[in-house]
Amino acid sequence: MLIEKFYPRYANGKQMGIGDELVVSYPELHGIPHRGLIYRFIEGPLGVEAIEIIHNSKGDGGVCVVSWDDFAQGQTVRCRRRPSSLEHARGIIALAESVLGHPYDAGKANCEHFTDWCYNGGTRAKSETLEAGVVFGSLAALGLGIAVFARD
Amino acid sequence: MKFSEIANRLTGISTPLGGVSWQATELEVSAARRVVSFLEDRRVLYAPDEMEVPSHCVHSVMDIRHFLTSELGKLDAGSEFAASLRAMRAACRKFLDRVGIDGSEVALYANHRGHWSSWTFYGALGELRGTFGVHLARIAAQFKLDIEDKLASILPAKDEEGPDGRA
Repeated sequence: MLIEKFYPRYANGKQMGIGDELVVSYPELHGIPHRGLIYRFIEGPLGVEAIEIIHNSKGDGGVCVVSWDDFAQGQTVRCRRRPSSLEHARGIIALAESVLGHPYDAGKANCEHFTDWCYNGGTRAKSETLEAGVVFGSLAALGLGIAVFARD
Repeated sequence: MKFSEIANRLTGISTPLGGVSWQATELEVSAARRVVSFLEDRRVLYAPDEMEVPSHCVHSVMDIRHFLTSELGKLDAGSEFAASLRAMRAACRKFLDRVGIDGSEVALYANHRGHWSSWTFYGALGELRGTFGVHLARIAAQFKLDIEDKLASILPAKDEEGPDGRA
């Protein structure tokens, strides 16, 4: 009898792969997304039995590997982007491993810096949330300034 | 570190160790001495203190690259020695490609504690030193040259295990 092995898929039916960048929103972060990378599939006789995620987490103290459940915390996990090739995926994971244990820093090394750095060959990184926050903060300050100026 | 000890560290690394079929030319010997002497004075290759000033490291690596290019111009391009110099020069290019030059975000923030730039910088520096260590060991063994202990700290580690895999 031929048993079809189980390989995890996303809601859209696409098979998950090593190096996929995942994004999840936790209620306590009020809409700020958290990101991580699929690090490893642990396979058993019937296929993939567990998925490990590598992420840079404030709660976990920095770059570390956690289980899917620990990463998801009961929330919906989406795939944000995928490696362009198998070689790219290997490079992403190699870079991710190279900074295991490095501490989290919201402004200088957060979860988005981490995944972006791994995807960009370890040469550059940006945090869209941080940049959006800076723009929003600047606009808010400008708006406040205009309001004060208009009132005067 | 004496060249005889360096030669012991070259397990599995191919190098013409003064065999019957290979004889170093005077030109190569003097060039090898110059290269080792020059690199002994490049703190970026071994000093922990230097790591605190990324822009100095970048300048130093650029100097090394220029020096290696000038030495390569005097050598037979097909020699093992020239191949080592080219490999070291390529390692310099890779370092500069990853870190960038003055003003790059990595060079600016690498020594800011906890900044992602430090991941790039120290990773690239480690790779550079590793590559130089292997090729310096080859050169020292090939030309029977001693290397100052500070620079020798980046040479490959001695294999402490016996043939049966036991230490």
